[in-house]
This record gives sequence, C-alpha cells and structure tokens, in this order.
Amino acid sequence: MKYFSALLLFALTISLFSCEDVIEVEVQNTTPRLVIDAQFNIFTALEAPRLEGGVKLSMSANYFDLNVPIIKDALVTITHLNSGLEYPLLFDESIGMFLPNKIDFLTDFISKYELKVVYKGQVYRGNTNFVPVPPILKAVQGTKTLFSGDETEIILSFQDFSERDDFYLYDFGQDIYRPIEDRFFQGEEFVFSHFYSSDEVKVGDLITIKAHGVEEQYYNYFNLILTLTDSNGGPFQSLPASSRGNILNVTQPDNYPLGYFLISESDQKQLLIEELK
Amino acid sequence: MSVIGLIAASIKKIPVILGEADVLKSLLLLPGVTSAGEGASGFNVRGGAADQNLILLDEAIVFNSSHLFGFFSVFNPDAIKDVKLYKGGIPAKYGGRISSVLDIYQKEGNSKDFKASGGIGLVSSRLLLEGPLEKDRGAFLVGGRASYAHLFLALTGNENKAYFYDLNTKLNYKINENNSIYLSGYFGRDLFGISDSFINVYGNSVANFRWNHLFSDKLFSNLSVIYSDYYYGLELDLVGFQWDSGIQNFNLKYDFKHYLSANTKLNYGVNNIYYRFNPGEIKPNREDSGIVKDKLTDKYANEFAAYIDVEQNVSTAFSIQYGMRWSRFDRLGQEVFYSYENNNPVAYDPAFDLYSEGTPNGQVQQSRNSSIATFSNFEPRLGLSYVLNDRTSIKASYNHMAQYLHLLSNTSSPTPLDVWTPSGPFVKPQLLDQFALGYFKNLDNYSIETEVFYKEIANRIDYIDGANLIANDAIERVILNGEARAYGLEFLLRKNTGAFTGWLAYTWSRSEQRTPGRNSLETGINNGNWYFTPFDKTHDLSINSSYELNSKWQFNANFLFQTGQPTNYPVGQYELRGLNVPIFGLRNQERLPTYHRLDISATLIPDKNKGRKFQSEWSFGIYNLYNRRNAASINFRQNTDSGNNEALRTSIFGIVPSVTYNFKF
Repeated sequence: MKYFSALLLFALTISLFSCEDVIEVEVQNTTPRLVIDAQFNIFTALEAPRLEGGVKLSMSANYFDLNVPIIKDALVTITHLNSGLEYPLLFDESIGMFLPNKIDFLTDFISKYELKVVYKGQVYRGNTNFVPVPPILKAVQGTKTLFSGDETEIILSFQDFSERDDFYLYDFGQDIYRPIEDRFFQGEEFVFSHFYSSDEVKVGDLITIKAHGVEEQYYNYFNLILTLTDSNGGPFQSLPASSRGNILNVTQPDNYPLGYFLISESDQKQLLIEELK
Repeated sequence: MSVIGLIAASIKKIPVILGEADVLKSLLLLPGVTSAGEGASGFNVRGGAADQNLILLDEAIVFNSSHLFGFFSVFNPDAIKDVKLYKGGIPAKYGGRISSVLDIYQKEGNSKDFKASGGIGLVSSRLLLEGPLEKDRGAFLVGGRASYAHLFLALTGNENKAYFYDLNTKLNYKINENNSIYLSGYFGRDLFGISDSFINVYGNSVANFRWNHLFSDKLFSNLSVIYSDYYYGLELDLVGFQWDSGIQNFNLKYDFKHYLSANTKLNYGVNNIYYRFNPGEIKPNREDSGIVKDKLTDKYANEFAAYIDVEQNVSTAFSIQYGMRWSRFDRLGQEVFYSYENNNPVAYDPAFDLYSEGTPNGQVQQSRNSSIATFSNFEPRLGLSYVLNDRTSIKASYNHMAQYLHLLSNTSSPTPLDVWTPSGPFVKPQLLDQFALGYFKNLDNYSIETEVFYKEIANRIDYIDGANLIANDAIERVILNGEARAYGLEFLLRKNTGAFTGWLAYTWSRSEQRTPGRNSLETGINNGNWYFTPFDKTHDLSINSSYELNSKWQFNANFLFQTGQPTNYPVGQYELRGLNVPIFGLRNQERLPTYHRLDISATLIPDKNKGRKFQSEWSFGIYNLYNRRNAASINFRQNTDSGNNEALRTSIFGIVPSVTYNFKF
C-alpha cells in the first residue's frame, strides 16, 4: 500500500509546528563502489520501438561531493539468454551511457537477459526480464488540491493486467517516481491522482508522464531507494538500509556493485497544463 | 523502589508546551523515563521500547497514549486522581508488558456536592463536571477536552484540519457497606485532514465495570469486566480508498487483597484477555475507484494469567515482597495461515547478503477455537527492603516478565498507524529479566533516591532492510528475532518542603539491541553487531523547581539537558535514475546535537478568590525560553534547485509562550 506514504502525512502535520534549516554536518566516508545504473525503457506503442536509458557507469562518492565520477572505459554486453546471442554496448559521449546499436532483441517477454560489465579486471553480472506495462488510458488535469491549496492534480488511469501480480513504476518527470503494485485492484481499471506542487509545474508547462513495467524485486528495491532519498523529517524516520540491487561482482564478491539492471516496457502521455477554474 | 507516584496537583504545576498540563510530559522529567524526542509518540522506560509499557486507565489497557503524534497525552489531567509508574520490581499483579506499568486512576466523582472545573488554553479547553447521584452513596464524573487550533487554520483559509478530543466518565455507587460498583469510560479521537484528499482518524476507547466486594475486614475483592480498543482509519481520496485497522480486547479480572496478619498481606487473582486484531481492511471510497475491497486476515489470541504476591514484614527493618505470575498465551486459529519450507518465512540470499520475504509453500485455515501456538511462562518477582536507620534504606528487586504482543514499527518513534501483532508460530514472546538495586536517604528537607538497573530482553524483533510493515498480511516474512539490553544509574534529589520545592533527576544509561544471523552463513541485521536503540540517551538531566512567593504568585521552572539521540549520517552517495542516493553504514553510529531547554511558568491566583466558591487562576508559561533550535532529526537530501546534497535539521518547538485560565466552582 505504498501509493502514498502515510508517514508523509505525519511529516506534513509536524511541519505545521516545526522549522527546518540547512546545517553543516561532518560525515564519514566509505570506499567507493562501482554503480551500474542499467535501465532500458522501451516504448513499444510506436511503429518502431524507441529506447530511453542505457547503462550508466559511475563510482559512488563522498556524500557532499558535487559530482560522481563517470566511467567510460569498461566493456559492457547484454546476452539474450534464450538464443545465447551477445550484443555489445558502446559508450555514447553525448548522453554519457553505454548503448546497444539496435534494440529489437530486448523486447522478448520470454527470455532472460544477462548484463555483463568488465571494469578494471573485475566482472560484474546481473539478470533480468523484459517486463510489460499496460498503456496509460487517461491522463487529464483535475481540480483538486492537496496540502497547500495550489497543487496541480493529474488524474491517471490504466487497465491492470488480470490474473497476475504486476508492478509498475510511474515517472512524473523531475525525478518524481511512484512505484505501484496491483494488489488492491487486481485486473481492474485503476484511477488515481498525482499532485504536482506549484514549484514543480506551472500553467503552460508540457508535462510527460511515463509508465514502466518492473519486476517485484525492482518494486521493492526502488521503494527502498525512495525511502533513502526522501527526507520527510520529523521523528518518524525509517532506519537506513543497504540498497543492493541485482548485480554481483563475480570476481571479488565483497567488492559488490550498486545499481540495478532492468528492461521495462514503457508508455507515456503528455499534457499541457491549463488554467482550470 | 523503582516506582514513581504523581498526584494530579503536582502534574499541573509543571510548565509544559502550550500550557497544557500533561501526565506523560511530567513523567519525562523523572529518572529513567525518556522519549524519542519532541513530537515523538509514547515514552521509553529504562531503555525499553514504547510498546513495552503497560498503560492502564482504570485498569483498561490503552494502546496509544498520544494525541497529535505525541504533543499531548490522552489523559485529561482534570479527570485523573493519581498516576503510578512502575519501572522495576513490578508486582505479580501486572503482566503483559516488560518495561513498565503506568497505572492511572480516574477521579471517583464528588458524592457530596456538585462541582465544576475547567480550563481555557491556547490549544485546547477542558470542562469537568462531578456531583452526587445519591448523596454519600453515588457520584458521577464527566469530563471533556477538545483542541481547536484547526479553527485558526480555517480562519486563514487553510482547509487542513488537525484536532483531538476526549471524554472521560466515571460513575460509582455504594450498594451497601460491603459492595460498591463503578463504571468508567474513556473515548478519544484524533483527526487529521489535508483538504479532502486525506482523512486520518485514530483513538482509543475503553470501558470498565467494576464490582468491589468486602468478604470481611481482612479480605477485599474486585471484579472487573473491561473492554478496550484502538482504531486507526485512513481515507485517501486521491487513490480512492478507505483503510480501517485496530485492536480490540475483552478483559476479565478478579483480584483479591487478603490481610493475613499485621505483617503479611497477600494479593492474588486471575485475569483473562481475549484479543482480536484487525490488521487492516481496504475498500473503495467512491464509485469510480478501481480499488477492490480486501481484508487482511484477522488474528485472534487469548492471554490468561494467575498470580499471587506476598508482602511480608519479616522484622521492623526487613520487608520482602515476592510473587509469582503464571501466564499462558494462545494464538488462536485464523482464516489463512501460511506455511513455509523448513518453517522459514524469511529468505536469505548469501550472494547479495540480502534478506527477503520468503515464499509460502501452503496455507491452512484453522478454527478460531483451536490454538495454533501456545506459550506459557512462570514470571517470578522479588523485592527486598532493608531499613538501615530512620533515614536510610536499601532495596533490591528482580522481575522476570513475558510480553506476547508486539507493536510493528520500524521508525524511530511509533506512528499511529503501526499495528500490534500477537506472538505465534513465527513470533516468539519477548522475555525480560531485570535486576535493580537502590539506596534511599531522607534528610530534613530533602530526599535522595539512587538506583542502578540491568535488564536483558530476549526475542526483541527487528526488521529486514526495506521491510514494508503497512498492510503486510504476513509479517513473519519481514522480521528476525533479536535481543535487547539496557543498564543505567538513576539519581533523584527532591526538596519536598518549604516555599522552594522541586527535584533534580539524572540518569546515565545505555540501551542497545542486536539481531545476529540465524546460522553461520547469515550476517544478521547491522552485521549482527549491537547497536543503540533510537531512544538511547547517555546523559539525561532534568531540574524542576517551584517557588511559592506568596498566596497570589507561584513560579516554576524546568531545565533539561540530554545527550542527543542516535541517528544516521550517510557515508557516501551514488547516482541512480537521476536521484542522489545516500549510502549508510552501520546503524545509529552518529548522534543528534545535545538537547537542552529551559521552560518557565507563573501562576496567578487572584485575591478575589478568597471567601467565594468560584476559584480561578491564570497560568502563564514560556516553553524553551532561550529559543534553542533542538534538532528533532537531521535528514539528508538533494537540494532541488542546486542539485547538491545537504543536511537538513528539523526542530520542532522554538520559544512558545502560552496562557491558560483555569476555574472551578
């Protein structure tokens, strides 16, 4: 039931009484690890599938460092395990990611895929599936507001796949995500609202909302990532947790990588924010 | 020893936030009692968790002691007669929670005259009425309290709501010399609403019918039939559902007090509690909602106990209290109960060093009349007191206790939506052993109480990384069994007489827990190492003083100085999907800055009160006089404008002035 963190509600209530300020804090540092942010979002509704994402390699850094080091000198391949065919990925300077030169091999719902990264003599491997998503049926602007009274409501709906447990990730742009599980609306048309704050969206903005199919493991993983990045403040803090994904270092297991390998079927809708009365 | 008694009058003198006298806030000023910070729900006794306190209101179990998440307690100070907090050496009559017993009794009502009292404050107002039902035989008491801060919000055009109210009632009737009956009740609710999108309601209700019977002048009995429940509801219109959860219990108690001789007194009795747990029910709240009605499996349990406790004066100097409680807990059958391969509901992946939810290999349905797990425990209690001379005594105590219910909470302080779960095939009861030793001295105007304690708790549950506790129908898949321990020293110096009175309370303590792996391949939680609980405070100093200038003016001050609570700072960061993700190391390695503040208050009793029935007083207070920005938490986040990481301090109360008008007639 993570459509909306109820803890956020408490945090909002506490914010009625509390005040926040940015302070200087000294933090400890830990050994850097390789981060493999390997996400392939494949938009299949078009005549020719379009790919967003790729494999972004970087190193973890000290918490207050302004940048994380990007890795370009690695060997990256994806294997379509049913056919055994291996596809190399090449570094694309313009977007800073490793990309395959074609993507049709990624849209097989039956086969598993293996990602292999070779960096500094160590081999990293992870497996995943191509996960489907139902198209966004509706994305319209609503008139309700939330906490401050000047939010913009977007009403969305999709037809959940019946008779299977599904997990989706909705991406509202500006690094705003909402993982969704179909546990309470199995096979139904699900209608829900998303609220943008007035800082995030203004009249005249063209917004893009994306839906991605994800595995259950990723749903749990990404919920944890959101818990770690979401500083809702107040006394109801969650305990910190380790955020390991689905990739192993097979050469030296202790030197495990961070990040996740996933291939999602994706859909998107755009809409222009209007002045509604 | 290890007992704190407070009477309503002294609670009302202590300056508190927003001028609202408060039982729990008063207890926090005494040794061994802390909370997880301002705005945190509940309280912690001797390094124990908030769910380990047995909170009784007229003998009924109260599951949530806080209003507005912990800014106020649920106990209306006007309706309370007295409060006792047992921190150790807990008598055999009490059981079911392992850290403390907070035993609160409501006033009986005035059987001679009609009386009214009340108060008008900035946040809430109170009114209490009491009077005879039949002169000298029966009396009633009705009290109410409500907050109205949300009305100010409404005036500013803000549609958000946050308020609470509670109602206290008590009736008593003396049938004859040997028989009296009592009826007491409490009903309280908190409501939060954020426009129409969120509505959140929670609260306790309790009712108790008591029959007091005197068999002789040596044997008293008390029979109680008690109902209590806790309800939590959430309506989320933006997703289109209504969520309800709660816990109910029916409690039957029969207690006897038996004076065998001038030197020996017995307490004995039996107690049976039947529980029904509703972990949650979801239903659509509007027609176009895609939510399908669903219900998490209700759980049922029964807890029985029988006890005997002996208070014996062995000699003029030496007295002893010893007792035994036998408790038996039956987890009863439920509609769906999962089974797992090797009876192991939590999976562990050694390659990733990750715990995850196990996959059930079957499910069974059992009758609610059958027991699916039974636990029974003998719980010995012992207290020794030796008077060295007129002024000095030493005391020692030991208690072993079992707790069969667990509050599922993996935040630093419980939230109202945390649910209780009973012990069962996969969740063992928490077991405590506590030893305490005390030295007590009375000087002419002063008293000194010093105690040391050590306790160990077996089967303290902990949660696997990323555990989702909300709406989880199979909680056994996200918990691991650990242990906890706490030890410390408490010092209390009181000045009880004269115009200047007050106390100085100091506690040094440590509270830790650990959850090792279940076998040599697993690493456990936090690599199996001990870590500080979120409410560990090394040093905790409170000074409370009160000065009566004359019959008109009285002044009070509190000063608190405490080690900051354990917290977590990131040890690194990485980038994923455009987010800066913090990396955390071992748990609770850092601490919030030291907490301190000074509060003052003044009470004005107008001269015109003299010689009339209507009595009034004004109470003026300033909380956090020097406006210290105490950190309630430090969070780490990515600044949305610059994209850089920053540390954010949340402080709850700065300087807060208040004024309250109290009256009675």
